[in-house]
Amino acid sequence: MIIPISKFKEINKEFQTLSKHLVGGEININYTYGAHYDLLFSTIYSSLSFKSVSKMYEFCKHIRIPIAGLKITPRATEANSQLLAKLQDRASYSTGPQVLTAIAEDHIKQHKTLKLVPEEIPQDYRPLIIQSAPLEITEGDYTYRLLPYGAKGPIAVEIISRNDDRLYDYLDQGFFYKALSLRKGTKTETVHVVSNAYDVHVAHIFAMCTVSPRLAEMLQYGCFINVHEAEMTRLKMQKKLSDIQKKTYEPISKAIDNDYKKNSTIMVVGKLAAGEIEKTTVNNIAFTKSSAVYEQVSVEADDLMSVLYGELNFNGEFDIYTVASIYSSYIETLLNQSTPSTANVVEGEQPELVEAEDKKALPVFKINGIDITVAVSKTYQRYINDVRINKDEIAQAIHRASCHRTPDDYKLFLKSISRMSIRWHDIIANGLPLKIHSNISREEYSNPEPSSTAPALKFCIDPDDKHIKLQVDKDRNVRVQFSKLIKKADTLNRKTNGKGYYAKANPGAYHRAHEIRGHEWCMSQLVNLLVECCTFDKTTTKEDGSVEVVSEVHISREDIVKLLDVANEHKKAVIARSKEFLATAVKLTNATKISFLGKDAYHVKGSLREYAVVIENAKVYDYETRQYRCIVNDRHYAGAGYDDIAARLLALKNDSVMQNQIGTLKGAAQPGAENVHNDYVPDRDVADKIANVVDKILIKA
Amino acid sequence: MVTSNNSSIENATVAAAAAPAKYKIEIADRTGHSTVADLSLEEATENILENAENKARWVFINGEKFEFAGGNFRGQENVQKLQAKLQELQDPAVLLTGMLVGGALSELLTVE
Repeated sequence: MIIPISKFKEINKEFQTLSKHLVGGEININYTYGAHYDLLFSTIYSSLSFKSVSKMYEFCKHIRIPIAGLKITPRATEANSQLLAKLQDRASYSTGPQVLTAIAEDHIKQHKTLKLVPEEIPQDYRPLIIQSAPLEITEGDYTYRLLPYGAKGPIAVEIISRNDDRLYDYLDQGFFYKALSLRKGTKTETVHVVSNAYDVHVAHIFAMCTVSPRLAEMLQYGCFINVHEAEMTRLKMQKKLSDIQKKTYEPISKAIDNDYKKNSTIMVVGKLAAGEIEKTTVNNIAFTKSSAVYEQVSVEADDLMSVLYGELNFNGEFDIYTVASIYSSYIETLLNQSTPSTANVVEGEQPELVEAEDKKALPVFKINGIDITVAVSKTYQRYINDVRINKDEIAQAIHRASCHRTPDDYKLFLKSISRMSIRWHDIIANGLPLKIHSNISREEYSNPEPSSTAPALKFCIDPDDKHIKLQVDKDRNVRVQFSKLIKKADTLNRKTNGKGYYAKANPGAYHRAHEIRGHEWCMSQLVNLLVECCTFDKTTTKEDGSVEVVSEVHISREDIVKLLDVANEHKKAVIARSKEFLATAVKLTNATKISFLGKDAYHVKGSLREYAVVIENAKVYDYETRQYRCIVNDRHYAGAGYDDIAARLLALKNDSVMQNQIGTLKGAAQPGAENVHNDYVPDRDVADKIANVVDKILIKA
Repeated sequence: MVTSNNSSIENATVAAAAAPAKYKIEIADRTGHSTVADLSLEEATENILENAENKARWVFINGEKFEFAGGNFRGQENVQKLQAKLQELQDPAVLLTGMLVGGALSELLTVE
């Protein structure tokens, strides 16, 4: 590598300054290309050895000290060794929290000094938070504080401060730190800025100091931002900015103000949780430390705000039911942790329980003024208000209290879901949705549960024989294995993800067909599932006393076709609309319906010749010669159902004009291409299609 | 009585002349088709141009293909021609369909 002497002199000068403090180490002279392909040199010092911490302190005034390979030689004291071990720990990210780190939303709960969580403020304009206490070491008459940081490359000691430095007292846990580069002629100095809190004014000061590091001189001792004086300092600094600096600062200022607006709500909630204020209103919900009230709906619990503070995004959209849902889920988790066996309970997280007879109960809370006591028995059964509840439905059962007004109503509800689960109740009331609808979206495929628009199988309870039955139509119900159907339908919905898979090869065949787990696949699987779940074993005793078990299928082919027909309601509507469009096109083109080559078709007269368009497959033929003329949809074609026929009729009516766009209208027909586009399967009436799917599956079975 | 009748006929004619024409456009799409009704001349023109230019649709007015000269959909000449066509017809049926192509030809071109 060739280094110009002028540059080498600079490197040498830096080395002469630094080497005074070093015992040993490695230096790597690196280069990059500048804007005009000129070489830009930089030096990287690594595996450094120092005689003492005081030498490290002097060295660190100039550049950061990489921790990898760092040594204190020849005689490291025990304190030195401990310090190096701690630094190495930080370097390997193995233990404890980092000392210096970027500000994150979680910090707001740990550090009261954080009053603004930056989101829009660019990273370069944010300070770092001193998350945990800096490493300290006493050597001779001095104590040093070291702050390691490693987000911008290998972890290194960012700053070392001695107890006689102005900065020393401010390098404390919960404070904020930023290093700025100040150019003085050809030299670059590092300016350290620290604040005892981070709020909107301090954020502006950090931003302005980043734009113009010289402004740091206006700070207390040239380094410290006191949050109590920050507003005044901010105003003074703003006046010192030049026009060019103002242009750089303005977008940052806007970002700070935007972040401030977002943060103001959470600040108020934080104060509420800390008991500094009594109440506040967010999204029209009146919050106190232990209650949330919106009109007639309320949630009251001693630990409500502390739970919500950690779980609820107060800046987002939520309502009182979200609050009830979050608290219900929290109670369910708490109850699961407090089972009589402590085997799975993390030490220290065991919630406080109240012994009552043979059950352990969590503290009472209220929803809509209804007292709710959640308990677990010694045999693991869960109870709400002394009613036994399915352990998977505790949160839902609590949440539903928000729909009741009196304790008696709620008790009735609890008793009802104690006999039959909420899931079963919901399915009987609203149906069992399945991903069999033709208008299913990509998003619905990616979600394991079907959307609310998915068609649902309907059920009812037969009052005569007390069985849950599948409703085929208003006159016919079929007995079904309800629990089995629900479980298998859940699996089927989860598997219907719109992705491809290789189906099992048929016996004797090597080829495994690649299929898509789409709505049609779901429908075909459902046919089997319905047959399986509507099949019951019937035991009869013969005259000779032997017992015969016969399987009876209660559902018929027609029943299945009827049930699946709802899946295509959307498609039916689309096809019906396309028929209207076709009717207009037929009228405008004077087309007539004919039978052509044994199929239904439209006859239309153009200027060049007469044509027949077969309805089934939208193929176009010369009417007189009966020869195929190849006309297909453009790849950008947007249409559905019979729109393709309408487009052909209109185009053929205008054939002399259209031959410029549809080249195949010119000259002779193309009978040889008749089967080229057989893969085009237009959307037509769907009733037969479903019957075909059902037949295919039933025959296979 | 005669005078009165004449008067009411005149009034009706004036009212008809004063009411601006409204247009209906039927557009083939994934829903079977969509209908946009009660459009003013400017709204109908904009709708047709948007569909022809950006959504690759052909324009048929009363069953006749409307051609945009020079491929410049929003050229002054084309816009004027389109508006004149819409205005000259009484309650015109405007159908916008998806585009078609000569299939075999494109296959052959692809192979070559």
